[in-house]
Amino acid sequence: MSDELIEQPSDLDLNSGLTPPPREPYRSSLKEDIGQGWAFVQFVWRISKRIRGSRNRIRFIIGLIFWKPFLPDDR
Amino acid sequence: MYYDSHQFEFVDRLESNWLVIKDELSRLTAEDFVPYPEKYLLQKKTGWEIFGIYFLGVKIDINCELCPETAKLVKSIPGMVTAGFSRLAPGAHIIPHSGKPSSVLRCHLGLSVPEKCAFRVASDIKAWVNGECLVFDDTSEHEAWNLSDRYRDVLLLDFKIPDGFALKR
Repeated sequence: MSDELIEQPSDLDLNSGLTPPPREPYRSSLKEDIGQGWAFVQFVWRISKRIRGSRNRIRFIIGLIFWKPFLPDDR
Repeated sequence: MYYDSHQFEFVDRLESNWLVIKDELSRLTAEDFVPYPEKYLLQKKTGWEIFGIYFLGVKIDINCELCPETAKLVKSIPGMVTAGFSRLAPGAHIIPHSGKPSSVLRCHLGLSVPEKCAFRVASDIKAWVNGECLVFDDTSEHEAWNLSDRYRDVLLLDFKIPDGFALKR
C-alpha cells in the first residue's frame, strides 16, 4: 500500500467565510476624527433618551467615559 | 481566547430561551438600533449597530420594555454588566482589536446568523450558531466579519468573571 499523503481540504475554505477579509490600511484624517467624536455624541444622546431619570443618565455617561459601572442602581 | 460556554450555568437558560429572545428582536425596527460609535473599528467605518438593554450596569428602560422577556433573562445572569443586541450589516468587518481590561467575560448568543459570518479570537475562528453561546475573553485580540448579504444578529452580554475562575491569559 502506498504511503502517499492525501491532502485534506482546509477548514478555512475561502468560500465558507471562515477566513477573515483582507484589511486595508487605516488612514485617519481630521474630518474622520471629528466624525468619530460626533458619532459618540449621537450615541450618548440616543441611548440617554431611552433611560429614565437623570441620575441613571449620568451613570451611563460617566460609565461610558471610564468604561466601568458607576454607582449602583437606585431601583 | 474562547472558553467552554457550558461551564457557566446561565448559558443553558439562555440557549433554551433563544427563540423567545429572537422573537422580541424580530419586533424591533431599524430606528431602535444605534450605530456603535467606535467607527475606527470598522473596515468600512459603518455597519455595526447595537440595541442596548443594560449598559455598564445602567438599565436602558425603554428598551427593556420593548424586550421584557430578554431583559428578565439577562437580569437573572449573575454579574451581568452589559447586554444588548449586536447587529453586523452585510459586508461589515470589525477589524482586529482588543478590549480594555475590565474583569468581565463576553458571551454571544447566535440569533440570526447567515452563512459566511465568523469570529476570530486569538488564533481560533468560529462561526456563530443560532441558539448557541460563545464565551470569550474580550481582552484577547478578536475580529468579526459578515460576508453574506443579510444582517447578522447576536445577543451580546458581558458578565463579571466568577470568583475562582481561572483565566487563561
